[in-house]
Amino acid sequence: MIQLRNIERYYRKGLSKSWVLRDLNLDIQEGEFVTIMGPSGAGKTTLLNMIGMLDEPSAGEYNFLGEAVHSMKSKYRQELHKNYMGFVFQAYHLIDELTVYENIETPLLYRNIKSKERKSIVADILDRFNIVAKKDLFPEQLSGGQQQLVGVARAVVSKPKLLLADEPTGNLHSKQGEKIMELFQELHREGVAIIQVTHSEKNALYGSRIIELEDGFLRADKQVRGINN
Amino acid sequence: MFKNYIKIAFRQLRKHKLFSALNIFGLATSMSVCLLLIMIIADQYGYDDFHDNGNRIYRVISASSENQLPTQASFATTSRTVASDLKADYPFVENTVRLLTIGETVHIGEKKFEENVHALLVDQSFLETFSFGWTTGDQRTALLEPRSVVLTEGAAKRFFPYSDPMGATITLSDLGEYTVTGILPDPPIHSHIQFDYLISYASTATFTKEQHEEAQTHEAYNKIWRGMAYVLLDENNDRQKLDAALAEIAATYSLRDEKVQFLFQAQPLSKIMPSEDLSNEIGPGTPTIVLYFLMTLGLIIIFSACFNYTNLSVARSLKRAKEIGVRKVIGARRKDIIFQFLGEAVLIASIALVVALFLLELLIPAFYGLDPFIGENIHLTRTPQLYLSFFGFSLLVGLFAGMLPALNISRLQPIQAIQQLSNLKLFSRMGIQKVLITFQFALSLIFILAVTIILQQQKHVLNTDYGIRIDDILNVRMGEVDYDLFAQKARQVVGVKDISASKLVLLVGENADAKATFKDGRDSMDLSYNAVSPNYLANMDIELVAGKNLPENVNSKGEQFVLLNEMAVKRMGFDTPEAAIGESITLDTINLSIIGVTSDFHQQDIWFSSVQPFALRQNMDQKRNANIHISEANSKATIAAIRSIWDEISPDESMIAFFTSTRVNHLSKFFRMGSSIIGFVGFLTILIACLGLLGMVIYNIEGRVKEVGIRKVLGASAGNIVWQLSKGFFLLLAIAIVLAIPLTVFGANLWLQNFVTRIAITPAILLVGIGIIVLLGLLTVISQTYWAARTNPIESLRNE
Ligand SMILES: Nc1ncnc2c1ncn2[C@@H]1O[C@H](COP(=O)(O)OP(=O)(O)OP(=O)(O)O)[C@@H](O)[C@H]1O
Ligand SMILES: [Mg+2]
Repeated sequence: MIQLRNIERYYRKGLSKSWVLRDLNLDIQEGEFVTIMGPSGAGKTTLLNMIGMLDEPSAGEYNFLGEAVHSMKSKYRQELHKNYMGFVFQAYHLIDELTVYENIETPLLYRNIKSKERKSIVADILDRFNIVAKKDLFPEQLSGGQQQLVGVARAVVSKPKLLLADEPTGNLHSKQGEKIMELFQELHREGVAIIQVTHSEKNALYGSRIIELEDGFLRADKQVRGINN
Repeated sequence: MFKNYIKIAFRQLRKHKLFSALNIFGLATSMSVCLLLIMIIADQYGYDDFHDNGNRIYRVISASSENQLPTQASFATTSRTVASDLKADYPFVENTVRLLTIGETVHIGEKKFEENVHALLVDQSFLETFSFGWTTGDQRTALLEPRSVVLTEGAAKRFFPYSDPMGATITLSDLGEYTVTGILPDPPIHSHIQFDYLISYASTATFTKEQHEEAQTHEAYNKIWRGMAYVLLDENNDRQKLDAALAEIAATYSLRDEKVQFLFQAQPLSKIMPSEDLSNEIGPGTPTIVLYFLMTLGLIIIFSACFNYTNLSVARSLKRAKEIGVRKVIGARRKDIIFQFLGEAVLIASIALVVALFLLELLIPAFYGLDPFIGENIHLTRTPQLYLSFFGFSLLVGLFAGMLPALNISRLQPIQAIQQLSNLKLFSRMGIQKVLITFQFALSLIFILAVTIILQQQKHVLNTDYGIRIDDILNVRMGEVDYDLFAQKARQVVGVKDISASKLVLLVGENADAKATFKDGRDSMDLSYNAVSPNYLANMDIELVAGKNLPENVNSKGEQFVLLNEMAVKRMGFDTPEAAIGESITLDTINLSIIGVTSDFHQQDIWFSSVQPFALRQNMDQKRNANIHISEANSKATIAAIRSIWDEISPDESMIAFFTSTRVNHLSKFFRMGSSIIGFVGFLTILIACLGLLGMVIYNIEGRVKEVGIRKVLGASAGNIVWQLSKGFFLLLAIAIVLAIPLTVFGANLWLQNFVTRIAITPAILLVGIGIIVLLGLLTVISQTYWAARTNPIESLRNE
């Protein structure tokens, strides 16, 4: 599904360049559950954003489902992003002014889905994530774990082929984190590809493959037999 | 989606109450004023749109000159032979209408009607060309015959409350008897042609010269100052042909008259109101420029309010950046974000509109209250179309106000918005806001100064000594009444101090000229004069500086003596007034001896004309006006007594009298109105500017709460912090002042050039304005910064 070839990412600081990703080659298949690990500042977020088409490589090729993202018009790239990807953030980033229900509904609105269909899709998700009772609450009325649950629900409501998660459990207690990981695993089983960034070895084991970054270089790439797999 | 936007917008409103309140209040006040302006403009542009053939009707307007022919017509009137010539010689002219206004007293049996009896002399074609409607009688023949009259329904009811008017007779004081041949509805308010009854134009053939000055001249091709001609073109409505025809006719007339050149132009019916500035206008004739002025004011107000919205939105956009980033990540396109933000702005504008509609209902009576003159010329009407245009207006306002924030914030890159809020450069360090706020305050200052200067100038003009008495002079038009008889009786009235006779009433724009030649026959000038009785000087408080007054009795030799003012003798080359005494001067053909010299006094008006050389001549038989100096106390009773003397002498004619001061102060009214309108707009501008500043300060402080906390922990005093938070805004105020002052001084001087006596723009005037602006600005800023400086630092830091 994803092919990265000789990807570079640097920021210009005056005349010199400060490198974040260097000569990165990576293939990810459909339905894989990949974990990106590495020390702080290694470039994990940068890589995730690039795969999620929120950021562009400074050099190199990026093919997504056979299409060349690096040479694509930004409008078309946004469409790809919209049609195939869901994002989960460490800080949840729910929209404060919207209720749980509306937060989950919003991605569907941007995809012009009819009101009736929208209602049933959101109802299904609420049901599945066990948050029906919370649907009319605003984010500030929820615990962190509950907020992240909504965050995941919002990311998957549009049935993405790829779920991107940047330290999704970083702000959560281990108990809450476990719940999110189990959810990811369930989605993975249903065929959704997942790429997550985490510092937790334990969380990494939920996935099927671990990629280690260090100073922008790919240091290791190994298959794992995760928990419950 | 749309519903969703609305929902979110409402939540935003509720959540950010301060932001919403500032915006809605600011927009609503400004909008209400703009709505009023829309009503005024709709009223003024709504004239004459009820005629079925309106787009084919033109009025012939004219100009004439002995020298260079002007390119622009200056009279709304024209010679009516143009109408007959067009009808006779140009087949594309379907019809023409000749029209003359007359003001006559109407007699019906014993009853006399003097008020609201405006009459028009019109051709039968008037009824066919225009669409005033018809009530009774034969519309096709009613005005064909001489001595026919058609009444409006209103006039018919007033003239004949108990009987059938058809076939009845009405008598005009000068013009004889007429038979009622028809009745038509009252003309709509929005018609520039207003009348109470119509007399057949054919009647003019029966007038004698004594009856009507137009009796002999109405068919004269070269009399263009009275009467109108309207033209209805055929279905092809070829304006160019009409223009060519009028040029042809003008050329013919110019050849026929050796001295005078003529210009005739076609003016479409729709262009009559609001009008170009034409003399002899019959409608309200509001000059287009006045409406443009109002529109400009309206635009300034609404732009200012829109800027506020923009400003506050920009100030808040940092807070909303995260939301926008998230929305983009979950699938929003730029378009979606733009719609959302525009939607919010439109919603706020719509709510503001509702508030503005309430304010408007308060504003309308206040507006009418400004001056009775307004009610006479402006008829604000509420129609469904008007409300539709209000709605359209609020929509535009919303879109305009929301555009900049929408375009800007929608450009955000999502990862920047979400992850790096701190170094987000949304609006290049608030540059736009600063520019807008500065602009608003500069504008406010300009308005404050404008009002001050206008009022000062008005006061100055009214308080200047003009060398002639202005107050308490009641001028009575003598008409057919004998002055000496009237004066003798009126002198006995308690409260009458003195009475003098004069040909003209000075200071109200009346003028008479003679060609003056003196010693050196080659040197001559046009000399304005008035012919007066000898007591005129004393009565009008004009000082005699040399020689003697005019003699009491005019002897058999006729006019012999003349008084000149100082400026006139200086102009003649005399070094002192004394030197001129006994010298001779020829006015036109009459040789006169200079008997005395008076000090200079104003003649034409006190506003725009300066003192000119002037002569006071002996009054032979031109005692057209009685200038009655009455005491201020009990003036009502005095006037009533004078009136009864008049009625005794001349029971048929009613007395026409006016105070010089009323006429002179006529312009004061416009000053007052102008300054109240500008003052009101200025008040709004200041209010809006302060609201904007308030919002900006509040958001600025919100963003710096932590900084303030840290500074306080480090030991900064409250005063210190107030200064830290406020100094940026003070700088903006200073820039606004520096911008506004030269602009104001320049503009004001340009305006003041129009006046003969004018104030100087002193630093004192400027300082007052600056003081007001600085005070308001300081209060706004410090009210907030002081509050921020007083809060406990631990609170703000703990919240982090
Ligand atoms: N806009 C930017 N300009 C300059 N340098 C940047 C910018 N964004 C990120 N970097 C640098 O890129 C490097 C990688 O950042 P990135 O956020 O990808 O790290 P990370 O692996 O996600 O770290 P963490 O585990 O702390 O989240 C860092 O050294 C960071 O300083
Ligand atoms: Mg990171």
